[in-house]
Amino acid sequence: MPADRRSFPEPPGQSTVRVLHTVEGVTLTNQPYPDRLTSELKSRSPGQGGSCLPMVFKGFGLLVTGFGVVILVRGLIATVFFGAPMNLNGRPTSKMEAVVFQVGFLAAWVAFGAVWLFVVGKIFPGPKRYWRLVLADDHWMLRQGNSWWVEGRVSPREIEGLAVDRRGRVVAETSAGKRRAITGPMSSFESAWAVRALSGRLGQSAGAGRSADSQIYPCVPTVDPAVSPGSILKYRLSRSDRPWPRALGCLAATLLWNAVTWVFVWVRLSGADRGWAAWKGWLLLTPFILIGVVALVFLVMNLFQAINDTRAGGAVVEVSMNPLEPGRQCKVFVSGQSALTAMVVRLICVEEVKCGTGTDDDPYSTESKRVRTLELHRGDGLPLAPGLPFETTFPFEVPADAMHSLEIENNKITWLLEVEAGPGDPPRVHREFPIVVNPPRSSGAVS
Amino acid sequence: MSEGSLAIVLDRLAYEPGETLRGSYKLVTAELSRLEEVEITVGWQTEGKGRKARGVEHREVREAGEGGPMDGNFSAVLPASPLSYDGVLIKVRWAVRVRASFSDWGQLTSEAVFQLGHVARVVA
Repeated sequence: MPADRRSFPEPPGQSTVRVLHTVEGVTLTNQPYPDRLTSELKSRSPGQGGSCLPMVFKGFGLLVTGFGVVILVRGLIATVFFGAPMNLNGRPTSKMEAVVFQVGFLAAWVAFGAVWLFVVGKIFPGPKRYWRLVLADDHWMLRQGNSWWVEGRVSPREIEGLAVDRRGRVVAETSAGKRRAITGPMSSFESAWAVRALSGRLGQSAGAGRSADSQIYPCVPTVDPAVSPGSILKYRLSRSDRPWPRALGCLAATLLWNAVTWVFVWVRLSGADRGWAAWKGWLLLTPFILIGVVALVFLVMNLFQAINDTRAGGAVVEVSMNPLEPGRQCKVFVSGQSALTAMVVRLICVEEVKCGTGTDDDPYSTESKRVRTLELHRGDGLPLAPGLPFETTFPFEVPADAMHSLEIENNKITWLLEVEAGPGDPPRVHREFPIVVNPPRSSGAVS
Repeated sequence: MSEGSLAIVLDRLAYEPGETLRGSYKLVTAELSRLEEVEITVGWQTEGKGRKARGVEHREVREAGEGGPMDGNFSAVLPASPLSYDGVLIKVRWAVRVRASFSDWGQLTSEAVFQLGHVARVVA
């Protein structure tokens, strides 16, 4: 299809996305060597290391959860339909008491199994999945690898716009109001390029959002399309740290752990065992109770932080340039509640790497480090007049010799504007606003 | 391992994004008759604490039948990013690699590191 070959742009340098010209039409895929797709899929990605730990942990979780569910459901059926008697710690219980106990135990058991599988999935992420998007004239199809199974299909005629979701997938917004993922996850510079290229194929303008009109640099993240216009300066930044979701997640985990633990504590307390048998039970329960107490302490700390954050009110950070460029001056506007009596604004560079090979001896882990901190502003945080919010605007620049933001497999460099405000040490308010730093302007950007 | 030497010479050791890297290689071996191909790649790779990643900006393969690839010149336009970087957890290193493959005799490889951009070294 020579017409397709001419019309579809090539991906930017350093991209893992490839454009193929097949009998079905132009195809986008993240598979580096499409000819090897079948054999690599069969061997389940040999580059990911040969650990059997994930399978063992997942299998153990599924087995224990499934076995427990079968026993508990069987007991529940026997109690409800056949009036089977139930003894709790040596004493007979009423039918209602037995049902409540078993339903509660079943819910806790299933929740515990789900948490187990979730944690195992986080510690041992699965192998990289390959995808391919076939751009036929009358339909676009998303497939996994070279499988014939169609994961998603959309007609180009019904696509009203293209966007990028939080996982870096290109999403088609249809005239029926639906959003369908048409690619797999990609780096942000790749997804920005894909939106432009696919929009061009649709005859539309290059997507929506800030990234549509900015330069694309290989391996450099693009600006979050959700960046909104500011009231004083051009762009308002959104914060990356979210104390309430973190506190609520902590609350859920603490409740779940302690609910399960205290079921056993209650059973132990109402038991008739004495002497060594009772001591054995308490000895077994002690680590679980201690973990529950530690979880409670973490919960209180997180709740305290979230409440403080809410009491401190909204902080607004706006910048005159986004993305930033090393050596070019930019302005930042910071606004906060008048109750804050000290404010420090810093520009911070963070390196983040994924370590480990995923084998039994060297499991996956993530490490991050703040490698450069520049204090941009330190003030008393007092407003010009009582009752008004504190506001300040000041210029700053990223040093000309600073590294740009980086987003490549297993390695990430992020820049943050950090706002800390008092009173107290540690300060009552700590907020982080990610911002993209591009390489110095040159002729090497993808147009 | 094959015996012989493979030398790479670059016109400079530091480049700016968008500039053209120029260089040459010279292969010295007694087994030239077995030479199959010479592959030249210009790319980067990460080093440091994390898992490695790599990218290739330019790749060319010269086969033995195309007029004696025992020495030759190459050039590549360098991209805007990623720039060379010497951080605490992450290091990005650009290099030219030349690999000469021989039939039934293994291969010879050589590498020349260069700097892209002028990002300051981060001190831990």
